[in-house]
Formats: sequence, C-alpha cells, structure tokens
Amino acid sequence: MVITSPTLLARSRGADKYWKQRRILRLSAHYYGRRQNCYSIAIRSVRRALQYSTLHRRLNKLMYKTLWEGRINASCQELGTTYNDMYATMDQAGIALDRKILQNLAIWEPRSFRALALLTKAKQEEEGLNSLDGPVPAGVVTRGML
Amino acid sequence: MSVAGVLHGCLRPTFSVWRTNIGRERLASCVASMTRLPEVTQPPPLLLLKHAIPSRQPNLLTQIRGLRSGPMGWGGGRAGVRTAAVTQEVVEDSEEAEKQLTKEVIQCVNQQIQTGEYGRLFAVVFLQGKQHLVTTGDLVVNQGFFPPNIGDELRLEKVLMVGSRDFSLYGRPLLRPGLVHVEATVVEKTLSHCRIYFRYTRRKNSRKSKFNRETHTVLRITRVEVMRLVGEVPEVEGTEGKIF
Repeated sequence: MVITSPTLLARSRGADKYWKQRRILRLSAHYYGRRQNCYSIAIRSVRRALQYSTLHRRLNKLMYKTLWEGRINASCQELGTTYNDMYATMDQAGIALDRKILQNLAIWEPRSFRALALLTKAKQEEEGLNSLDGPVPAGVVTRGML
Repeated sequence: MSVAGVLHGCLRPTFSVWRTNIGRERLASCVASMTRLPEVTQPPPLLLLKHAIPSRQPNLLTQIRGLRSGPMGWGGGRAGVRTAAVTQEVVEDSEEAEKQLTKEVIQCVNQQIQTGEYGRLFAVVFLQGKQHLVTTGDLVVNQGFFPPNIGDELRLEKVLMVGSRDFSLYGRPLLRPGLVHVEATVVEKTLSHCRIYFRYTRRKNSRKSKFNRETHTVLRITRVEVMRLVGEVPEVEGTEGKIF
C-alpha cells in the first residue's frame, strides 16, 4: 500500500538517541550514583574524564620520571652519594643507562647498582666533585681510564 | 637572702635577679659566663689537607681554605675561634696493587665465563629508542612500526650492560659487539587498547575526538649469554655474522 499524503502534525525530531547515549553510558559504567545511569549527568563526568586522560598522557611520563628519580636517589643515599652526582658522573664516564633501568637495578639487582654507585664515587673523586667530603672507600680501581 | 646584692659590682648589670632556687654556685657561674670578655687568639697557621692518592695535585679549594675567613654569617664572623686539626700521613704508591687487583678480578670473571657457572644473566638492551632490562624468558613489547614477522628470530646487538650474581659488565655506552648474545623470537603482532584523544571546550560548541590503536609486537627473549672473555682483543672486529 502506498502512502500518498504525510501524517498530520508529525515532525522529524532527529536520529535515534539510544545508541549515542549508550556510547557514553558504557564509559561511565563504573561511576558512582546517577552518574553511571543518567545520560545528562553522565555526559559531564565522561567528557571531563576523557579530557583529563588526553592531557595527562604527557604528565604520566613526567610522573614516572619523578618516581624513578626518587627511587634512585633513595638507593644512592644508602650508598653515600646522591642522584644528581651519580647521574652527572655516569654521563661523564660514558655509561648511558636511563632512569627506568637504574631504578630497576636499584630494586632487583642491588649488587650491580652498588658497584655502579661506587664506580661513580671514584670517578667523582677524580673529577674533584665533593672533594671536601673525604677519601673514597678502597676497592674501586679506575687506573685513570674513565 | 636576696641575690641582688651580688650583682652590684659587675661590669654589665643588664638584668636583675630576684629570689631564685638555682643555688649560689650555679648563679655565680652564670654571672661569670655573661660578664666574661671575648678572647683574642692568634690567627691559625695555613691548613693543608691531604688526600689519600699522592700522585694528584692538591686541590685549589684545599689550598685556599686556610687563607681567608669566610663571610660574616658563616663562621668568619666569630673572632678567630677555630680548631686547627693539621694531620699528615705517609701515602704509598698504589698503582701496582691496583693493577694486580684488576688482573685478579678479570681472571675470576673470565673463569666463570669459561666454565659457564655464572647462572642466570640479565642484560640491558637498546631497542627502538628504549632500554629494556631482560633475561631469558622475558616478554618485551615493542610499540610502532617493527617489520619482523611472527616466528622470526632476532639478535639484539645493542647491549649496554650485562650482569650475573657475581659480576656486572657496563658498556660505555655499548659493550663490545659479539661479547653478549641476546636472542629473541617474535611471538605476537597485535594492536594496543583503544586510546581516546578527546578535546572539548565548554559552552563553545567545540569538540573533537580521535580513536587510536598502536601496533604492538611482542618478543620473547630466548637467550642471554656471554660469548667472549673480558679483556680479549680480537685481531679483526666487526666481521662476525657479516657476509662479504
């Protein structure tokens, strides 16, 4: 049957909203209260969350860097040096391990980390850094090769 | 008896003491310490500090330390009250002892390498701009463009460091090529989780979103082994594994 005349006073109100809202509510499923089920409240939280995650992808890297530096500093201080001195001296000696690796060594390979820290301390003494603190403990031989 | 009478004859009666219970002796010592004139001492002799290693020149810092007093707030302001601890020590030449120690250490390490009793080795490997701390059996995830296919066996040649229970070898920045073999197999090629990039300005009808999935290649490390002895210098370097 062909409909030849349009329905009286009917309007097209737009596309079906259900799937559009579902996309947002799927992301808010773990929120608290009405924010997980009511679209007009959820949309605000979800937009904010997506903005934060976009912007903080960059911050994440800085936060990890700070965390790693803190961990390395803690291990260095146990061994009588500091992170700044050790990292600068490693650069001078030509050892190119990055912060991620150093913090892993400090946690999981303490002997290797200790050897590296003592090496940097010997190198520091040769460079004249912290020269008023006193002599370096024995057992580290550089023969001027660093 | 009130103690105000004791203070009349002092040089600086800047306070008055009422009846107290601290005792006459203690009071007398307090008064004496407050009214004592400052001492004038001789300026101390030149301080020359010694380092443990004799072959180096004394530091500029150590040489000028005894010559001048510091700024007013840091101890130079106090009129010449200093403890001068000048010690001298005979320092022996330790070059030969150091050489001997080096030789012994390298010998121990080489013995472990030859007999193969170093146990499990870990290595720091440089791959696609990132460093990974790996040992046999580890999984390494590589993000981005990585041509090798599933099942390909790779040798990771840029090794920055290798270590075992008893020794660690650090490269400056890389270890000698061929010293350590780190081999890996490509196990999986997938896409990462969906990362949503969403930009939104409120009340300005402005929003844009991007849905991104990176390619991930997963490698399984199959072998970390030290192939050469430490201190060994080959006649020709850089020709291993190359076809001419």
